[in-house]
Amino acid sequence: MLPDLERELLRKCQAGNSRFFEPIVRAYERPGMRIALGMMGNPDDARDALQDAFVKTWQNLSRFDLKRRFAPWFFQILRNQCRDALRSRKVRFRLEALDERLEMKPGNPEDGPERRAERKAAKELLWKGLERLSEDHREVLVLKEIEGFRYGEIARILNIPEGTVASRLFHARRALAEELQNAGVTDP
Amino acid sequence: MNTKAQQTVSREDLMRFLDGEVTPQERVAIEGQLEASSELRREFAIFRSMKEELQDLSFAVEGDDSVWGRIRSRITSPVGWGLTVTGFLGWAAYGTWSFVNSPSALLVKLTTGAVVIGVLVLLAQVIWDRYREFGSDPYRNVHR
Repeated sequence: MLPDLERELLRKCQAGNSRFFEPIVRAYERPGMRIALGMMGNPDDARDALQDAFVKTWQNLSRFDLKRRFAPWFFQILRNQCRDALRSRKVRFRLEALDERLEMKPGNPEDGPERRAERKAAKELLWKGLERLSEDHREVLVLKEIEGFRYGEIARILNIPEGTVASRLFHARRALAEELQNAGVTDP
Repeated sequence: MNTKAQQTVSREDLMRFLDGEVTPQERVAIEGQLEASSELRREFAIFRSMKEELQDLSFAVEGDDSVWGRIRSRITSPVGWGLTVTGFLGWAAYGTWSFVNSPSALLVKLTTGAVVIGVLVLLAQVIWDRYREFGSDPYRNVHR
């Protein structure tokens, strides 16, 4: 969405007009769902966290400074919502992200069934490795690898210095490599 | 994984190099270090391979099932409830004041008052029971 258009929509939302919130929701629900799914591990809890995050965003919109970028602010709310949900007793990271309702990135069409099975097995191992990581490590990997944010954006979303992003990514990747080694992968 | 050659490239710089967040000068320096250390090359290859696999995990959520419908009802219903409750309270206060000051007989006022208070007590009881059950309702998150 164009920044000027987004700012204008947000200004109207701040005036209390909820119908202008719809394009904002539609623009951010897919990246938001991918992040929530990476953090929660299953589509149902991810969708609940995403909805709660949008409602909180709406409720706090009057405090949002229109000079700032909306995306990091929203993803920060979403990240906090996912963490709160994971900390509550009701929800924990459940590995259902390979559910048939999700469409994986298409592989090489020339891959044979054996190669496709190998890719599927490798992805399952990766998800299992992610499941065992701490929340801090999992969220930084999700933001970097699944959503492709740059270090500056990740720093704003996680509210940490930019230098810490690189350090946290190193520890997260090393922890994941160890998890994969423990799962029997010789050269992750 | 900790050799002398690696110590010259910090973990943070290695990550920034892997993620394409280094300046051209830093890039040349790190490439030189990688050239000089097979151990560093091996570690970097592991990180790079894992990065590629993780990026391949990206997925598109199927279908056009937007969450907007549920969000709209959640952000607009408090406004509706607020207006309804405020209007009802004003309406009830005016009705009570008019009724008390009306020329009706005392018996009519007392019996009508008893009916109204009885209905309100029953309504409050139902709301209270529903509220208590809500915490343990296994279907509360099921959407139609």
